[in-house]
Amino acid sequence: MPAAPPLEAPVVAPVAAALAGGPAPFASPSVRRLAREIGVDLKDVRGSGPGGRISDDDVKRAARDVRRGQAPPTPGPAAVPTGGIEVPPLPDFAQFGSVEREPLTRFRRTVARNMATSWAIIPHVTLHRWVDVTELDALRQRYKQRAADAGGNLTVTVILLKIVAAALKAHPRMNASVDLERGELILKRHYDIGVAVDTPRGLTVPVVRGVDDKNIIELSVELQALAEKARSGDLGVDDMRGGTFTLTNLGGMGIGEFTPIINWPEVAVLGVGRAERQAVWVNDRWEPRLRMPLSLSHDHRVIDGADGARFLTWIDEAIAEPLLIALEG
Amino acid sequence: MTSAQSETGAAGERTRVAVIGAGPGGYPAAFLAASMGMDVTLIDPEAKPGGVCLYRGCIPSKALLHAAHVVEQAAAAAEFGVRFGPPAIDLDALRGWKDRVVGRLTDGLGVLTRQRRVRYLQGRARFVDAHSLHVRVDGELVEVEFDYAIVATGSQPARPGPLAIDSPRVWDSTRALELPEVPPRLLVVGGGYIGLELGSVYRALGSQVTVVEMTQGLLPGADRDLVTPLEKRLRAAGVEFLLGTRVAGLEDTGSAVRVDLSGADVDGIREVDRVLVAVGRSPNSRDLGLEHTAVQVGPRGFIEVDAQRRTAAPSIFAIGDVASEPMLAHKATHEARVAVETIAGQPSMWDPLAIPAVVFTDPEIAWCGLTESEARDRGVAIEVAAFPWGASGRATTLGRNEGLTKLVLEPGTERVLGVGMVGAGAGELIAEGVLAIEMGARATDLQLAIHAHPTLSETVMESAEVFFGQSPHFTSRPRRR
Repeated sequence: MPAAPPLEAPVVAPVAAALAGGPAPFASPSVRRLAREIGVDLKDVRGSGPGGRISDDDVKRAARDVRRGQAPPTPGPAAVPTGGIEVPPLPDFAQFGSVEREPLTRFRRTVARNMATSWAIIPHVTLHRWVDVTELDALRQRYKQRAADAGGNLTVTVILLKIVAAALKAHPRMNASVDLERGELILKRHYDIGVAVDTPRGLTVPVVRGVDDKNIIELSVELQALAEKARSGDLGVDDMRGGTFTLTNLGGMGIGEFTPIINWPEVAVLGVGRAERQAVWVNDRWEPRLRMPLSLSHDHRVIDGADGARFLTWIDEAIAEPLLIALEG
Repeated sequence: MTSAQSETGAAGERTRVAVIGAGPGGYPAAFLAASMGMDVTLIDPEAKPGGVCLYRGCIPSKALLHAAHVVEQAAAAAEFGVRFGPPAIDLDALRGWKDRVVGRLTDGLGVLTRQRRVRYLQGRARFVDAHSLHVRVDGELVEVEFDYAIVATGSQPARPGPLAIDSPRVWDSTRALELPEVPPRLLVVGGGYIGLELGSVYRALGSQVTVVEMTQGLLPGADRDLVTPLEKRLRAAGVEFLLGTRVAGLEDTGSAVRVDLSGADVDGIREVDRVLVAVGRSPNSRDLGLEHTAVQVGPRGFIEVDAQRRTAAPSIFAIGDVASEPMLAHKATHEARVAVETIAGQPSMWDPLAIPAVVFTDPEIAWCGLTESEARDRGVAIEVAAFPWGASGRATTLGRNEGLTKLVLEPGTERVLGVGMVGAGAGELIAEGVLAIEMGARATDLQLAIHAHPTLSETVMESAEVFFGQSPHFTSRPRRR
């Protein structure tokens, strides 16, 4: 048990105890926090500021260097994140013809920073798989009006939301985050799925909460409302954070397969492409089937290609056999 | 909070986070956790939150020091031709005012607790195991099951060895703040900030004050050039300092206290009316049932914690005075953030570069970050740039030229590693030093940031000017160490 302190113990202790473990990081509290969040040791970061002060961009650059296994290069000033590439000086474009300069909006800078962070930190693997959605689309056509009556829009994305939530339950490692500092995988027991929305200002990802607890009609109403809010620029910070997985659909714009970027600190993202009617060899004859490409990007630090493949297979089977959602989801 | 029937039959409660102790560590922890959406139970023996800081520390002492400053300033006004009569001190009214100050703040915390829907249990908590507590509330035993607990039980005045006598004439800081009377002769044991602050209060109220300090100087840990102006001023006001002096024993004679002193300037018995023991504080880590958990307590009574303020029991955190020095309210409040953010799964850690220390005497002494003496002890190369308030216009208008502002800088980068000050209002001025250190400011940044004239804050900018040999008001070169 505690002993009484010695007589006349000094009442004023040294206050710079944080400096005792060597030179203190030459970085502000918010930059130190960012370094912890993305797992960068500030001792490995060379600051580009006056006197060697470390900026947030220096930290992100260091994160990318660690990923590439490079020594930190001599940093240069960078007002906007560079997406992980050491940018050489630009030529004078005016010498080739007339140009106009447009400043990046604050929104665009945020998107740029988030993408650069994700791309710098996460070793991406992207798997493509075509799935048969003939029955799913028939189902969608049949119940479209019911969703519309409730105020929703029954899209493929809405149905996929429900299927993905079930798939995540069956594959908990896909619904996770990596804590490198503690060497742990944080498995999330909630299923809050972000949906990428194209807005006049750029990409926005509102989060649909508790997808597993809602039925597809409810989801169609909620996603419709969220997407409208996103397009009118009315989303709050809370509408966009805390997601555990992301869904992005470029099918409506005619895109097939693509390689989506993971929304850090999540570990996977599912891209949806445009469905096509294809001739498929079924039961000794050609049949016209509606097939749709899925593109799954996952974080290879914690999810192997085979894990990703199993996850996609599960989704494929759930689309063909919706009962699987109830069985395993 | 949901109710549950416990195995022991006691009334049971379940909570996400149980916070034990509602001082400046505990209540911010509870409020932050609640604001993050956690279910929180805050437990304290007092009827309302506040802890030592509000009830028996920072706040009542500052209320009394304010009264002391008014008394002293009224006397000092004679210097510029404004004379007041001697003060008539109504001790009951002064005590009542101090109590109202405390009441107003603790009442406010009670309201905030309800507004944040934090469950408040008035009682003493004891750990049953790493996930449950027993709390005695009005004689009833309440069992609280928790996912996480934050121990923030604070500290109490230490009464080691020969000072541990039970006598109404021997006070600790808690008793002195109750303002029981103004003793004609008061002997303060301990030349730290508590002894000097309370000694200053009683000196202003009329006591003849003697301060006995075991080491060779006041305020161990502070740079000497910051302490000297305070010591001079207090000596001039009639305070007696016995440095390098031990108290070998205390004896209550029934009408006075006999103090057995041994030191360079004094040897033998001295008789005084009251003794204030202010030799430090000891952490409140006893009687918490910590032995029923894996929590480790160090030899001096501090609960051992890591950089996230987690104890050896992963579900239990400890913050504030009970966990480590320096025992300062604002350190505890920041630790509360670290612990709660960690519980919320955020990558938080304790990594401040500067914790301000303020001694609320007159003049005030304040410093943050690296001190000169600490740099010397650790062999860290520094440069020091100091601006004496003798060259400050604002200090001259106040008739208070004894102050000093100095920067401790990293050679080569001119980065600010530490800031120290002595002078009127230094406790407020130090905030700029904290921000400069945390943001990684360099001397040039302080030099180029415009400071209002005429203010004492200019002395920060002028210190940087001194570093570059460009101060308009003072000519000196920085010292190299």
